[in-house]
Amino acid sequence: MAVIRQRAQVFNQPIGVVRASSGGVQVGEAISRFADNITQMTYEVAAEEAQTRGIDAAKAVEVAGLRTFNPETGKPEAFEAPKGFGRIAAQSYQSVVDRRFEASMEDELRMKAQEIAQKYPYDANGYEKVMSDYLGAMSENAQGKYKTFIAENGGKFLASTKLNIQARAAERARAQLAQSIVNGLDKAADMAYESALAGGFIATGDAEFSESGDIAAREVANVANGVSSGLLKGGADVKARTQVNTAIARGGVEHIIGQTSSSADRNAVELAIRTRGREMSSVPVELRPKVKALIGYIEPANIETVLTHSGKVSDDYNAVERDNILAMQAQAEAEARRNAMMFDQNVDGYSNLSNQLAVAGFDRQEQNVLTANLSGSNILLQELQGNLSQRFMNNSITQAEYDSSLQEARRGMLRPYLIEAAAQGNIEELRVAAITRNPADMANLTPKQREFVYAMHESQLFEPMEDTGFVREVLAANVNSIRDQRENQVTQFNLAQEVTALGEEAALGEITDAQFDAMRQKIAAETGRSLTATQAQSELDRLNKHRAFGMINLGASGMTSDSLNRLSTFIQTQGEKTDGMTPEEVALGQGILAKTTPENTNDITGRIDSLRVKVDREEQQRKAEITKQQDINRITAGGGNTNMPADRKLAQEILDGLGVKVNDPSSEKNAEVISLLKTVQPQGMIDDFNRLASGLPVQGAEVMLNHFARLASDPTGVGVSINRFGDALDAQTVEFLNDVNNIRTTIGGNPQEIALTLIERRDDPKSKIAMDKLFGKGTPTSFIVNRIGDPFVAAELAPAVEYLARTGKSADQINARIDAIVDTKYAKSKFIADPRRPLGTLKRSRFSLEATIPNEEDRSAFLTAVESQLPSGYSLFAGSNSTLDYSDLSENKDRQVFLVPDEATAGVRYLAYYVDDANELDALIIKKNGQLVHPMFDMDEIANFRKERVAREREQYTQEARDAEAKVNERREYRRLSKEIGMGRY
Amino acid sequence: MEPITAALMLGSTGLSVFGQLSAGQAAKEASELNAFGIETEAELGKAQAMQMAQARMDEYESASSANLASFAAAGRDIGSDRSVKAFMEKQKEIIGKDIGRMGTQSQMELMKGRQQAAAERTAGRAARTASLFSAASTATSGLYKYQQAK
Repeated sequence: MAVIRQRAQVFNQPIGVVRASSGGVQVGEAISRFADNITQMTYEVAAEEAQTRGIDAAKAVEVAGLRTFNPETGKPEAFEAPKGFGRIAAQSYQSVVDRRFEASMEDELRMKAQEIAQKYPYDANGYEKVMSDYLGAMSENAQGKYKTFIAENGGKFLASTKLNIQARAAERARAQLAQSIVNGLDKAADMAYESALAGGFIATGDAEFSESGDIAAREVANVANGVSSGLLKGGADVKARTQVNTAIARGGVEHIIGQTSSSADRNAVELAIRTRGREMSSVPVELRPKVKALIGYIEPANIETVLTHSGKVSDDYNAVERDNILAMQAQAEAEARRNAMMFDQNVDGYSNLSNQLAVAGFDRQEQNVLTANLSGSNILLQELQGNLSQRFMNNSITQAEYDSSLQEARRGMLRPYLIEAAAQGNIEELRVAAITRNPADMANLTPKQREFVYAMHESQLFEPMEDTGFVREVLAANVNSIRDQRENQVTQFNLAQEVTALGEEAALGEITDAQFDAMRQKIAAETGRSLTATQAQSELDRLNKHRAFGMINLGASGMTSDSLNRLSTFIQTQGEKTDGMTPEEVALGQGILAKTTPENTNDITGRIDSLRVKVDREEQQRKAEITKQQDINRITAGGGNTNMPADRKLAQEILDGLGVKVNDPSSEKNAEVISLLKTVQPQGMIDDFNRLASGLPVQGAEVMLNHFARLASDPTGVGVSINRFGDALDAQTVEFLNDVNNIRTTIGGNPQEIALTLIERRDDPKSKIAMDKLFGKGTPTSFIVNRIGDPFVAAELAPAVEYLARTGKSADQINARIDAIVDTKYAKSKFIADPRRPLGTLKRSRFSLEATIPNEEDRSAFLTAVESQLPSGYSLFAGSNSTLDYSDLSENKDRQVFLVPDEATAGVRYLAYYVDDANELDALIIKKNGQLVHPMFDMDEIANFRKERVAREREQYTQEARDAEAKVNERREYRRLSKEIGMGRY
Repeated sequence: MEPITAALMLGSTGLSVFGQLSAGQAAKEASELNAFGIETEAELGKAQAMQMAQARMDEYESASSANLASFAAAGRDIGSDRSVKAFMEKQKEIIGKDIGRMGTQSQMELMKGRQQAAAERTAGRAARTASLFSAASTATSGLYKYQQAK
């Protein structure tokens, strides 16, 4: 067997390639797809959101924010999207804003079109030009789509508005034409009214138409043309005629009413109009042609209008008539009363008065004066009737006497009017009309006569039942008799007027005996002619009475009220009572009695009494002035009391009188002013301090604060500082102003501003925290009590301490301020013992002599005066006030006297007390003029000293001023001479 | 934009980027692995060819030995017998050709494997690069959308 050889049968073969897994790729791709989905979804949501946000934001932009024009470039531009917006939001935003912007521009174009159209409401060409210019300018500045937008929309507005303007202009032209006709009609109506008012409604001469009628015809024709041309509605010409006729009738009726003299005349005119001329009998004759002319313009369409107008005009005239009558009546009444004082109050006197009123009533031409004067006579008659009634009630007269006196007076007062009325003529008609008052009967009377008839029937001067016969009888006289009677009346009137005028002069003591005699002769000459003997005597008595008044006026000047009282009694007793009268007074009384009659006594004494009242009032005023002057002297001499408001007001008056203003810097250099301020501060100054402390503006606050600082702590020669404001400024105000002053002097600044700042701090709610922190559970009062122990003073200072706490002061600072207040307000005083023991010691007092007597000289004088009045063995300068050592002479020691303040209404006074053996205060009672008295001292002790000191100081000031002036003059002279001789510098 | 929406949008974009980058990286790594496998396969083919060539040589030598023995046994002068020589030469030529073919084949397959590995690597890198671009695109797209919709 052949050898079997092993052959290689197994070989390594390719095993193929195992492909790596693609799972990682798939995972990544899956993540990516997942994330892409999320992204897509969120994108879609966010896109919607962004779109909404953009739209919302764009809508939220205010119209004012959609700037249509860039203020810098002047070009229209849309609003930019806000920063931070995405594209979608920005696009949405921009899209909306663009739309809004375009709308805004459209509005603007429309507005501009309207604005320009308003400027050229009827000028289409003017509008087109201006609007085109505007659009051109706008378009020129604009870019892109805005340019097109402006051109398109602007053109649209321009065209449509231009058409409107053209249509409006055409309409207006027609309306103007129509209005022109209407205006012309109105104007013509006004002209016709004015013409008629001036009487132009009455045709003059042979003219067919009156002036007013011409106007009416012309204008009605004009309106008719307007109707035919279609400018006015049909029928306008008829209305126009009525309108113009109405205007003429209104003017005409006013014209006629204006010529009536009474409401009766006016009623007659209205009746004539109402009946369209059928009833004219009551219309005064002189008015009838005018009323007839007026009737021509009255038609059914305007009669009510004309009558209404007539009624209103008549009302006006009636009201004026009434007012006029009332005014005249008041005047007549005043005149009657004035005359009544001059005339005797009897029948003759009243007849005389009525005569004066009657003559004047017929003589004066003013309307209604006669009615008024008759009313004046009526008042006099009522007064007389009152007097008669009084006498009848007193049984001084019988009923028959009363009736006959009243009738006599009535007829006596009516007669002058009847005579005056008859003197005007138409006596027959007057006699009838005076009784009947028939308008037809009165048609021919004069206006004065008609007025008299109406007024007589209205008055009580005419009693128809009793006086009809009397009136007929007076008016039955012939013309000559009437004329004579009237002349007598006029003479009486003139004489009475002269006596009245002379009496008024006599009442002033300004007539001579010659004047009196001349008048007496004149009266005597008329006696038996125009005057009866009684009337003549009455006029003389009247004059005499006024001479007596004159004597009183002259003789009583300078008499006291007591003297006048005695004089009145003397006259009243017809010279019997002369108690207390001087010979001069008796002589005056007798002179007065010689010039009057017993009937006039009451008038004379009444005059004296009224004078006495006046003198008494003057005396009172003088007394008050003297008292005031004394007070002024006291205050200027340093005796003022600043706690008294009256003194502060007077101090203000003193300074005002001197022209001193305490807020002026010059006041700080005026020694007299400073001296006055130390005793009493003018009220204006106190008011200013209070204003400053309230934060209100004060003029010259710097100067005022300087004064404050000086007075709030005024050092005296004895080392005590005094608060000179006393009670005039409360502690809180003082502390506040102290703060203002301290800040001003340390930090500087305007006092007013400092005060305001402090007030703000004080009133700030946080200030309470500062206060609570300081006081804890305590109060300002308890805080002060802890410091000084006196609850009364503590209560007084509490507001000040509260203020200090609120403004952030520490406890130490406040304590220091309390001490300062106490030291300046309750100063220790050597000679005073205050039993109220403020601050627990007798030695402190608000009434230390340093406080009440600021001037050292005065203080020394006061002590000297007190000391000199103390009995032997008692002295102010003993004991603790002694400057001597009595230790070895104890048995010779004087007892120490203290002054105990006693606050009175007029200031403080001091009572003397001494220190007894038990070292207690005891009242010092001494014997004076046999009586036990408790010595009391006040500022009167040094009143004379003060006067002398002030006079001395004033002289000193004057001398110093003179010296200073002399020095200045000397220097001026020296300069002048130096200049003259060429000394160069001088 | 609502904060949650914004966070979701940006977060998902980031996540997508991350996913794409991850996929790219995974593709690259897979390609590297595939290339390695291909190269290994190529090396194995080479080793097989060498083994088969050696086996072919062994077979030839064995056959030559047998043939020489047979010829010798047949009494043929191996050194001078031309026929034997020619036969042997022919045998040698055939073996040479086989060996040559085997080498060529092996070379070719090796080359093919290397080319395949290189191609695989290139594909991996391309996938990676593509993932980068894709991620960048996604990030850009995400930010763009965010900007759009913020």
